[in-house]
Amino acid sequence: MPERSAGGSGQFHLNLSLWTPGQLRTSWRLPGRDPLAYLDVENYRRLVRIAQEARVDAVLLGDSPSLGSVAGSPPQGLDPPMLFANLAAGTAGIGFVATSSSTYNHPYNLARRYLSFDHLTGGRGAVNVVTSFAPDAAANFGLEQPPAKEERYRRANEFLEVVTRLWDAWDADAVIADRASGRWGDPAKVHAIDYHGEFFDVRGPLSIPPSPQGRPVIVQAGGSEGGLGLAGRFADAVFTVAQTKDRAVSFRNEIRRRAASAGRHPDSVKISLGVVVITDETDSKARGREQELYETIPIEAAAAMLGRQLGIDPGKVGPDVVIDPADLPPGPTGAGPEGFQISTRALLAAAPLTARQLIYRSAGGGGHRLVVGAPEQIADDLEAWFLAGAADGFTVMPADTAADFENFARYVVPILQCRGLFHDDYPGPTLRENYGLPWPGQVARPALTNGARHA
Amino acid sequence: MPERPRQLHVNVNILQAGVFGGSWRFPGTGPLSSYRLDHYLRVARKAEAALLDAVFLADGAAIRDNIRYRPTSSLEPTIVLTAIARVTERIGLIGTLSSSFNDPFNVARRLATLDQLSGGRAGWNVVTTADAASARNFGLDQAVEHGLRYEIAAEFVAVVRALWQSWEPGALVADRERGVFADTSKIHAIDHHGAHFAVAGPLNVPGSPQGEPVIVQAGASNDGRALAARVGEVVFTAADTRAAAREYYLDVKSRAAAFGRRPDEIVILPGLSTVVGSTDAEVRQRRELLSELVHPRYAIGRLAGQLGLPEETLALDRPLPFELLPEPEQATGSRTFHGIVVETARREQLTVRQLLHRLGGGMGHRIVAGTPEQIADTMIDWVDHGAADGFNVMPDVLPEGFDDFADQVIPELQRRGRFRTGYEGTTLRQHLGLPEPAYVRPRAGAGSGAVDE
Repeated sequence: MPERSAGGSGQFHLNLSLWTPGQLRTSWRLPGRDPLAYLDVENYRRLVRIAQEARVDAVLLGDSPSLGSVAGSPPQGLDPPMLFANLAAGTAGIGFVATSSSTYNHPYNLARRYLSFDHLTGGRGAVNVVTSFAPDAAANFGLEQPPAKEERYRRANEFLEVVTRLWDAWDADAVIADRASGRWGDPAKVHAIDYHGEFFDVRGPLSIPPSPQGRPVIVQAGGSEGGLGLAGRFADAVFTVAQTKDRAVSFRNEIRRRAASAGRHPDSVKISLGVVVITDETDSKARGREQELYETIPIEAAAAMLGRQLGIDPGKVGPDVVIDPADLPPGPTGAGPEGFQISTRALLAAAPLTARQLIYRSAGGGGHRLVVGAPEQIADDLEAWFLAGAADGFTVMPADTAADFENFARYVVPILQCRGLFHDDYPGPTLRENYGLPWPGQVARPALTNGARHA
Repeated sequence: MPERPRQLHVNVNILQAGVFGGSWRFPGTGPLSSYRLDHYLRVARKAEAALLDAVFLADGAAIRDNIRYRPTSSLEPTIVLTAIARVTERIGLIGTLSSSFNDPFNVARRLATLDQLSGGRAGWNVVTTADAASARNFGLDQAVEHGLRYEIAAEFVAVVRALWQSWEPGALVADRERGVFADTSKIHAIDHHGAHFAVAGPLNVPGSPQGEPVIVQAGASNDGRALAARVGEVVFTAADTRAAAREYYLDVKSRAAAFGRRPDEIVILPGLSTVVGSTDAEVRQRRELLSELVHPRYAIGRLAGQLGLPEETLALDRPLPFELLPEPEQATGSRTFHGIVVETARREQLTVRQLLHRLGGGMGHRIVAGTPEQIADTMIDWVDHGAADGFNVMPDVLPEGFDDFADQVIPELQRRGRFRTGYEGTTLRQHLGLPEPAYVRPRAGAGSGAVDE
């Protein structure tokens, strides 16, 4: 029997992506959509309210510190942790997972921003740490090209080690706050970290005491060897991509094994499986919208991009040409996320597909699994994957945020609640409680690479 | 028709529980308030109701104070300011970000985000971060040398401004029919290659609702004044006397003229710590209590640190040991405060105890204790004597001391026709009467220098 979720509650978590206009980036072209919704704070506020009413565990946003290609669709644009600090004011229960790069930030600054955010939200913050492979990001930070993947992950490990040690630098009883005696804190309980590594030298401590959930939740996404190692050591939650149940189950087991070998309880890492959703009142209505969404994709350009990411000779790529697995290079290329390349290869090995079919199937090239149908069908699908041991929960990415975010929250979530698969209310005020994670101090910590913790 | 008398500009600095070392012990405030959102929202709402120009948040990248006796520098400003943006509509939002320990792209983006979310109310206080404790969190043993820090800051600001100008107006076309989202011919790389930064751009956030966020600068050294004159649109100062403030005011505005800038393109705001009471007796009492609440060991330790002296060389009832003082030019910390503290002690022949009472465990800014009328008098006096355009107010205790300022001093200024009775604009730039920078198309290959000229 496959392993069930932590604590045997039989319930899974749900995150909802706020990415606007949606996983299908060209959906802004549909009639009635506001193309500039990605800059509209009222749009985001409305979505967060809907998610909170549905008791969704957290909303999230991905990010890259660069413009990317904006000729045909919007960039992320607004800085995610700052947008979330704005959106979180006046909300309760719902968590906020913001993405930031370990390659293009300094750990002291990032640790401080996110712990500040965690205080302001009363312990509902999370950082999704990415290593940013985009070449245009490197050029914004004095580099001609991004560091090699192996180096990016070496840096990310050091980065998270520094960040977590900064977050833990104050003992729980370091703040005395005794008005009568005038003693505010106990400096002996606030510790320098004296970190000296390959990438960073950081004295510490941070200037901020622990937050209501101890420290922000750490999320990691990335299916490469470097990503797996990082997740095993540091991640509270792992976002992943899988097109087949078997692959998801084996990924989840692998992460749990990595956590255990880093000295952590396997249940202290939650696997969140990415799913792109198109849902509407009826199956046929959902399918109709799916087709309309596909028609917003500039198919020639998308096919060429897919070919580049997979490393196929451009002459052998066209929207309606079947991709021959023999044309693929022997291993994943550096031109795209490795997890995406692996899952796409698995699909191609299972059946012959054209670029158009692949692109439509992965909703515009995102590489995530697409589920289309009436609310009952979406609920059936998530239930089946959960019961197969594929994940501890799901990160739902609306294909067309203006429609699918609300449809999922208002129509799919109540079905999951009815079936006892999703909570009826927030289990506590913090994100850590939503995810069923242990208090960070209770987790066995990985061995430190540079001596005593409280030097 | 009579000309409208000069209007004052007023910001409030939300400095933890208040500027005094013992503010967190004052009745009605909280020892942990500066870690809670409500604290900031309450002061900001009050400041907006009182029609202030902006709320201001200082910053440092280390524990720079003795946490045995008071809370330390607290939450990161831009994160707090976007939360404040949520509950306010008009008031400006000025955050401090270091040019020594950040990347220009990240700073440009965060401020542009704040500007978008607030409808054009963002300001950036550029600091070069002088303290060694901060430097040690970024791989350095001590702060970068003074002159070099300012050189880096000048390039940093130029890069940030170039990124803010990397989108031409009208770049977002959103043409559904053709599937064109943005006209990429109107979005320009900045391709900056300077002595300290290489940044390609463009920024991933489009142009600002107020043209650009407002650049705020503080610094009294020669390098600091030069940077303020070149890029500062608001300039914070620390001046203890009107004469010193006037010297600074004239100097910065005349230096600015050398860069082709008009005097009214720079708003100079000295820091002003306020203690408000209804009567002289109430003022005296409040001032005494604020001094008593500062732990003496804290006050001595802080003063010793600011002066670069060992703590044991200071005795409460003796004068400062002037003969032991390091030359101000050798001090690595803030020269501004160093100079003010020593000058005051020498001029008035103060003992250490008297000097500490004067400083109040604060930051070395001028403290004015008085009735609303007296405080309004001195504020107007400085402005009318060409020593200030307004003030960066640092209330003794937050939120309570600011409530008194907002409820009593601001109406007094309004009665005298010296402060707005309603917001006339929606952006920070408009509140400050600053011109909106025209879009300057960056020259290909010229990097960010083009924007600066």
